[in-house]
Amino acid sequence: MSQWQQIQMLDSIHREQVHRLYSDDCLPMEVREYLAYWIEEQNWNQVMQSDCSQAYWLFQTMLAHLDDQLGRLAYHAENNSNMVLKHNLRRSKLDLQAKYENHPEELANIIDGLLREERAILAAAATANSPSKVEPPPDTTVITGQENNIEDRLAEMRKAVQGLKNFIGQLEDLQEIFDFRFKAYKILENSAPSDPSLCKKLNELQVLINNLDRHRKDVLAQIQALLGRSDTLRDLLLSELSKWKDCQRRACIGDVCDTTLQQLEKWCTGNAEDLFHLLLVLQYLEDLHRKVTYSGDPLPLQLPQLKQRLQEQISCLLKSAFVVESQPKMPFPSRRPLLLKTNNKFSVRVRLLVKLMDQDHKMEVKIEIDSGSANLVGFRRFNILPSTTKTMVKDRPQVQGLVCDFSHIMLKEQKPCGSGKGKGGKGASEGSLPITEELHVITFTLDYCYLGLRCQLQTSTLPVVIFSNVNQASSAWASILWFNMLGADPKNQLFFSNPTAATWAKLSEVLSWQFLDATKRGLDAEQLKMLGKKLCGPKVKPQNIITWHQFCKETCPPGENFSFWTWLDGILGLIQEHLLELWKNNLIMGFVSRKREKDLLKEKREGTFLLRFSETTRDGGITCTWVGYNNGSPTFRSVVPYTKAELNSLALPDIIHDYQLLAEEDIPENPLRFLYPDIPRNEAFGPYYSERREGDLMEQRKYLNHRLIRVSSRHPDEPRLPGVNLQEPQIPGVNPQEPRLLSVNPQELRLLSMNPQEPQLPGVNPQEPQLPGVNPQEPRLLSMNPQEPRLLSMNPQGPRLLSMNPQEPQLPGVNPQEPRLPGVNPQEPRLLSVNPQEPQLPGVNPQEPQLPGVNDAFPLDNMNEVNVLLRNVMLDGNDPFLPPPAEDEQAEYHQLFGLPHEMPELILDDADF
Amino acid sequence: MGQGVGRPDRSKSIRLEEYQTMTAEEQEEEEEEEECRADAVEKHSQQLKAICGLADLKNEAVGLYNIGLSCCLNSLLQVFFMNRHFTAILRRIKVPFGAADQKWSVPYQMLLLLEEMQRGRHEAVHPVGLARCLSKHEVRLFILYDASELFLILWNLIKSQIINLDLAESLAGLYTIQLQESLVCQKCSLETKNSSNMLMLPLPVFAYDSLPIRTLEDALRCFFAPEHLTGDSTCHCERCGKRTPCLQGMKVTCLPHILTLHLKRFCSKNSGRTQKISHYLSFPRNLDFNEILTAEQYQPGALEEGSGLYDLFAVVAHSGSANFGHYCAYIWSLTEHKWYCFNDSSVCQVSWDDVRCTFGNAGLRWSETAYLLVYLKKELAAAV
Repeated sequence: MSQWQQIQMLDSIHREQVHRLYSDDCLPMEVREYLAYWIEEQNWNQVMQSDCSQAYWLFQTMLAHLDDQLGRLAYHAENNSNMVLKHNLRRSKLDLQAKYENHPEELANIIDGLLREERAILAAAATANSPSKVEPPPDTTVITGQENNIEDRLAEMRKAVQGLKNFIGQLEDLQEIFDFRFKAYKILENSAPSDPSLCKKLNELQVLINNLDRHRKDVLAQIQALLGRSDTLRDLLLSELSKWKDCQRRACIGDVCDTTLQQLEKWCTGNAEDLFHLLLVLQYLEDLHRKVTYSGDPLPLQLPQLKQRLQEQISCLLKSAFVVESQPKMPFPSRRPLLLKTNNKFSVRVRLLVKLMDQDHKMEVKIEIDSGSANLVGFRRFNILPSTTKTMVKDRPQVQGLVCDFSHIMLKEQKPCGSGKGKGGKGASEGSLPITEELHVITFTLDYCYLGLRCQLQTSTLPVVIFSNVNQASSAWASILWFNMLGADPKNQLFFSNPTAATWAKLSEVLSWQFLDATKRGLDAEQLKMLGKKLCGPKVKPQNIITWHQFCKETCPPGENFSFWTWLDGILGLIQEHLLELWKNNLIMGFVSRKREKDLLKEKREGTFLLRFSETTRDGGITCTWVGYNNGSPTFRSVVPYTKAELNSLALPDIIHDYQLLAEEDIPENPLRFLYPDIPRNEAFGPYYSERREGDLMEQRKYLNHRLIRVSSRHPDEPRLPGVNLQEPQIPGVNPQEPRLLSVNPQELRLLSMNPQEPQLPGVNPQEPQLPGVNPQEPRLLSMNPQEPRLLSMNPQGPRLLSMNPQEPQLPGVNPQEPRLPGVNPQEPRLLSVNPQEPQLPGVNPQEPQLPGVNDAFPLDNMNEVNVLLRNVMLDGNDPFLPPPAEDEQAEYHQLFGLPHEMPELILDDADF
Repeated sequence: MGQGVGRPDRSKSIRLEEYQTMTAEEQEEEEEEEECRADAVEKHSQQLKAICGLADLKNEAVGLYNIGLSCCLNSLLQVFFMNRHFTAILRRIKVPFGAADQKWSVPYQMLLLLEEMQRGRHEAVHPVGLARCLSKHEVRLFILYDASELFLILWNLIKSQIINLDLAESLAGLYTIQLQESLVCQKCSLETKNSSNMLMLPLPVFAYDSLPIRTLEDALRCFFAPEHLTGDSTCHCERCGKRTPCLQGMKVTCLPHILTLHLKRFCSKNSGRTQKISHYLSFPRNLDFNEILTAEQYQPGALEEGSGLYDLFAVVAHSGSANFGHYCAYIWSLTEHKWYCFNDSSVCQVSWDDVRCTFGNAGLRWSETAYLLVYLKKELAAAV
């Protein structure tokens, strides 16, 4: 929106001010209106300061534009509706012509002033009005969010760079004019040294060079300001990038967050483009300097510094813009990222968010594992196969942007020389970490080159855990979880030699993510509370501390042979394999303590049941508990947990449907009637029953169909619930294995046949391979515990820790000299030099030298004698972009010009021209 | 004062300036009476208008051309000019009579420059007159000064050249930090006290254990931390009659309205080569000395009004290396309530994000880092 449009939207008070502004007829308002865009686009301030030719040109252009407008009005309105308007505009044009014909610079002056006043009024209006105003003027943008902030800054910067380019164009014009006149002057001086016009010409030259000098300083000030702003922009971008990295880290361990990079790529590329443009501008300025320079020229002093600063900025941006877009992941056997199995293929993708590349520079990305980590004593070493380099490509059809996909690579363990296998012989591994706690880092290196700027970019994956046996995957994942949950330094590969503890608040969140990620359903507060109690005792609070040892080493509950994580991961596996739908639809309460279970059920109708994960089954077991009433007092029964082995043969909904409790004298009945709180069984589980064909007696069939059902029976000798202690029906410490009065007999698998003629035919149905002879309990016992033996040899508190300095992990790039500066003398008495009466220069301290300063080649004792030395005017101005190599012999002209406002007599030295 | 130099075509603003100077003097007395009263914001701005006149209220940010490595001077001038507590004093100076005296007087040349800037015809102004005047006082162009050093030189020149003693006094009062230093002999526990005045506190960027300091608060704490003087730096004790180890402590007795802090980012190494320290050191927008210093270290005297609450007003930032660099100034406009960045002739409105950028970064050796920090006492910033 143009400034004039904003003016028109002002309220009446401020508009009144605008009217006053235009009341003295310096510039008729209709001219301002009709040429609004054009007027605002010109740099009137600039024109004012340079010579009048530019002002004259602008004046003429303005009149031409007015003529244009008049013509357009005449064309559009045959019916003369806007005759008055036309008349006014024509009169204004004639007025302007008459008034400023001879002083176009005056008009420039006036317009510049008016525009500034307008801006002031707009700003005043903006501060007066609350931000609720629909369209705030651009000077007072209300920052609504970081995104807008970045967008605005990018746009602002783009505009500034564009403006700078235009400004440089003007600078070049000025310089060429000066160059030309200077040459003419030299020729004249050589041919006719006594020409009286020489002096006048020299004065003119002085004005030109002064103007040129001011422009150069202006351009440098603008670039300085621009670099300051772009510093801020870069910081904002970096903070967005680190937010993204954080998101990615959390997404790796199951959180749901947006990890797309389009926005960031757009921003980084935009910013880099502007910075590279700026670099070109600086190079161009260098060329300008090579062509014309003079004493006091600001370019040679400031350009190198600006260039250094800009290059530093660009490489800083580039370095952060090189990211691992997808962390390493195997397609098989585990979908969990950052888990790699030796000799298994995995893929990883890196991206450079700055989408700029030289076509002729091949961008090769080198991939390495554990590069530069010689201190990883006892770690296994790996080779990456088949190749360790790949070329980065831009905008493939499937993938936009500058990416490099390593998709079919794998890791092969380096066999250590000599004897020993695995971890390089047992002797060397003394005190080292178990392999699932060894963190490895994959690093990517890219040699980047664009527009002559070279730098090496490096990025690394989050630490990965490499295992060689599938049964290590679960504990490997525990390491990944723990590390990323705490957001530890990704470079700290020895994290697990002294792992930090986590709060329950953090851990509970991450545990819920595991379920969310694997099953689309997280854990609710009640479920988490149960898990929390399991880990931290009955009074669980968010700030409770849980150690790595507690999480993944200690047996839980004590006495069992598995840890909390092993148990939980087993349940996760069970849900994924057999209970996904039930879990997703919230039919499984799952994590509920036995005590609470009874509290919940005792209020309910007879036959109300719920599903709960066993706390004593290693690889995940699920059981159901129901309530019955005996003389008004509740009794609770649970069935021995079903594990994968049983569920393999029969799905849980079917078990529930067909479940029967056999008692000696009763007919079998299904005690499971209502799912807690009160959903009828078939309503809750109906959709999940497997399809069954009801026996059709009318049909002649060879066999009647059959199905497996689960039945529990009470022992005949078991007293039929007589001794149910009404006072305390629930005994928390009850061992479900042990058949007490509440528990039901171990399951029996029976084959029920519909046909009495046909006796049980085990194994008849080839679809159902599980033979009843196999005791379903048994397979569980056979499953071995691969973790166990390794745990024994592990020593988490190894002595290796000593080599790590926890104090300052955050200064990797620091100049090693920097932190310890001997110059800072703590002993230095600080105040002794101060005169108590008058505050004087405490800063002048011999210990701390001030800036030595550029020593003055041209001391200005007396400003009246300030000289501007004109030196080395190279006369080749034909090819501004490719200046010829600087000529060796630099012509020196000692010409003495005054500074602005002070024009001394000129003494010319014509020695060399 | 200064009317003579104005161009006749802007009679409007000149009238305002006259008006302003008269009212400013009248206001001085009123100000004292009203000091204790906490006024509503509306009233403040009324008062503000009355004191400073429209000239200062409009106090637009105007650039200063770099006339020969004068970025340091320009930045400091902007810090002076944007501070209306300073300009209120500057506008009341006596104009020297002779032309030579006028050219010699730094405060007068500053006033001329200020008026030229505020006449508002240009986006930037050449500080030629002032530069010429300063060169008479051995402050030269084409030399890159250290901002803290130049600030002290300028300030002392201004103060010594203000003829009116009262004014000079109030200028001193505005800036002077009063400290008391004590040395306690560890042998005989004789305590010697020594009060001193400073214009700015030179704050270390490394703690005694050579670890980088990360916040301004810590730097202040480190500056005021008591220190055991042993070994070579022992002091002579009168009672013991010899050099003894002693404990050196320091406390603040009076904090000024305008508090200038200097981060010692330039350090010399063994070789004598000066090096710039660019590591991260954050500074807050609000400082509270009651929180930073212990009750023992900060004992506001009877002279000092109000609490030790300060608002950030200006940051003079340096970019580049120790040998050559560039200065710019980030200044909070007291009239517009916005941040501005002054880069010689280029002036732009910025946000706090931009100011935060001058906290520094050890990895970026060429970018801007805060060097001088100017804080204004809270009551003052709100009331006047």
